Amino acid sequence: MITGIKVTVLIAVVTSVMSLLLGTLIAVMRKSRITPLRALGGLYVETFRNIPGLLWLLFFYFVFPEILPSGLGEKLNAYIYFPIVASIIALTFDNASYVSDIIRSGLLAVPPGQREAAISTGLSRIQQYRYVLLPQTFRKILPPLGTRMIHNFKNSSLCMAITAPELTWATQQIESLTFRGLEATTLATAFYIVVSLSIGGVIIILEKYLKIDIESITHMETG
Amino acid sequence: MDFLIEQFGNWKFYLIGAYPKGPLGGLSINIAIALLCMIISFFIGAIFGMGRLSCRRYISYPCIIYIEFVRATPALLLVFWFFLFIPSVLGTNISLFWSSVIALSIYSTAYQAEIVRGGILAVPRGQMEAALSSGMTRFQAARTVILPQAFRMMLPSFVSFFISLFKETSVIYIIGVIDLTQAGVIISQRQPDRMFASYLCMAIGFFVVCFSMSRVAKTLEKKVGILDLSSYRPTVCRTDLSLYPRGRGKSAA
Amino acid sequence: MIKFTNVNKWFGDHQVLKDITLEISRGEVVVICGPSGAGKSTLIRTINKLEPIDQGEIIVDGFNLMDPKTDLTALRAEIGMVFQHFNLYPHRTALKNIMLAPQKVRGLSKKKATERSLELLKKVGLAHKSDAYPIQLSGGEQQRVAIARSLAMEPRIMLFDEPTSALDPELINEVLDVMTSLAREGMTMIVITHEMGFARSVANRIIFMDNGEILEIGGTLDMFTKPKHQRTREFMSKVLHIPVANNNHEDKPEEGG
Repeated sequence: MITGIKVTVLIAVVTSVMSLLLGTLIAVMRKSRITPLRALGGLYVETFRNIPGLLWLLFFYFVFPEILPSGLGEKLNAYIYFPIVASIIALTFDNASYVSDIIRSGLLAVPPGQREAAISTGLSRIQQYRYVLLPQTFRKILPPLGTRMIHNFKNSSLCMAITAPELTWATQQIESLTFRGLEATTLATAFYIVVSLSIGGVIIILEKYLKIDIESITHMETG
Repeated sequence: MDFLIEQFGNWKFYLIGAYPKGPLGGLSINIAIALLCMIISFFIGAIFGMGRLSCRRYISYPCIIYIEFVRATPALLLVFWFFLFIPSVLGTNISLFWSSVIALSIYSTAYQAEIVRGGILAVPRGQMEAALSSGMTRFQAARTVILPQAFRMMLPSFVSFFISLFKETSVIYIIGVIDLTQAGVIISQRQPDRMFASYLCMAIGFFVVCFSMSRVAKTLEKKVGILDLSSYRPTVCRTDLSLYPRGRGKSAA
Repeated sequence: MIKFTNVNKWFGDHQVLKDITLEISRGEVVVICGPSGAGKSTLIRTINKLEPIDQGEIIVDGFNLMDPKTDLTALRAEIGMVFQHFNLYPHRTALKNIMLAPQKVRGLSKKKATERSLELLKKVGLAHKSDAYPIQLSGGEQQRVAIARSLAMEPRIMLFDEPTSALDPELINEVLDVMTSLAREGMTMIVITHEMGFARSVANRIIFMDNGEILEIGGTLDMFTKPKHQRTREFMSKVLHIPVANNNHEDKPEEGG
């Protein structure tokens, strides 16, 4: 059970961070001037958003080793942590598609004048994103991003389908070994609820902390 | 491409499972469960959503607790609850199908409640004031002015939610329902060398439904505007925008 | 310093710049005026290529803007621009708004950038507001910070796109004062404004635009006293003779072009 919690937290934290990075990259790609990059970003988002995360988990666990050259695939299957690695990869890809959509809508909501101001002081494209556009975007999208991260945390429960030893998997093990599954499941449910609500709480506090900026963003264009 | 065409030989199994000889399965069971849950949870969700806006704490608090707790629980765990424990506690035997429907309905009720609440809050306050000053009662105003507008605004959110619910139905694979995922897994185990193709077929099944629905949602969004659910914070009582009278008063729910 | 030759630009079917030919020399202060929708904004936004042009040639400081080899980022660093809506970065304090570009584009050390930014804030009279966020500043103060932000790159040309038209009347002068002192220092400036008092005191030339065309260019005095064109006369009499307190032209909607 404790190991289960550890694995759940590990999966959730690693996938959240990685999907945030990947999602940002994809969102910026989708705003690129280069058509193939834009198309690639769009294709990525459509593919991962329209196919359930569970399917991606099964895919990376069962199919991925099969399509690799045989020696490599067998090595992967023998690797005891492979279920966890596959979970992290699948959930990162899945979550990144949602994250990139959220970031994209945030980027679209930054007034165009911000970018023009950055351009006319001579900032390069990367600098525009790094210092001007993305900081404002992240302040704006904090609430939906938080909701998404909670979702990602909950989705880590799906990893039990590929025998990653996370919390939900642990409860089912307890059920089948000791028939004390009711207690285990109750505890697990409580754990998920407490963590999800805490993430939500942290987001609300963070949002208040950044309020000066958020207000000024919304007031800018009306002024 | 040959391997794919070969897979399409199994199209019936992917789409409807072993039906009519055996139980219904495959993609149609995902759609059936998603639709059933959508309908059931729309009505219950509307009650919870309006209940959450109530100024009476003994109405709003239980609604908040229900919504927030369910939203904080993974759908998979809810499915387990209804699959493993509730039947044994009640001493009844529910089929896999119905326990999935109940679990996912409970899950989606919480989300639909939030959509309904968001829709009501998005109707400008002046609408209620205009309706009241033309002599309508609060109930009439809610029914003829506020709810029709709110519902229009909710439509795209409903469709988007349907998509995520439809994807969420794939979790019932874990308790052994022969849905599209399970169908694909069964076929892939029968022919392990054709694994990639059978996964591709599953993916296509989900993709086609989700993608077409997301186009519908986009069209609707263009027509009626987007409801930004993220901006609504858990507020106990929004008297300024509420359907209900200020302070004390009759409950509408 | 800036040379337009037969510049044309369309938005769809609508031609927003018609055969613009214009030369502006170093140290000159040029005021552009004209009714809204005349293409004034578009014209100055082509100078740092915020708006690309369809035909013609623009040469700025020896760089040909139509040449794909021109390093636009480097060129833009030499051209300061001040916007109608200030466009300060809302998540950074006044000081940090000014520091960003010198640090990142010019590669100044943090210490040097801070020193220089404080100096500029002092110059626009806002040294005491260095730690304020844009939301905590009045419109006039925001615009002065925006001017300081542009000056921090030590530009050779400054462009002003209706810098005072989003401001309350009592805040306009503090911004105009900063601009006037800048002009006296010899900065090359192109200013879109209807503040004719400002134009009279600092401008070398006034350009009148209408319907995407330059209808008339003339010395400041000439344009005030004996404009040649009928349209110019009408426009001038409107902006000059309506009592200043009325400030009618301030309420014009943002230029739709």
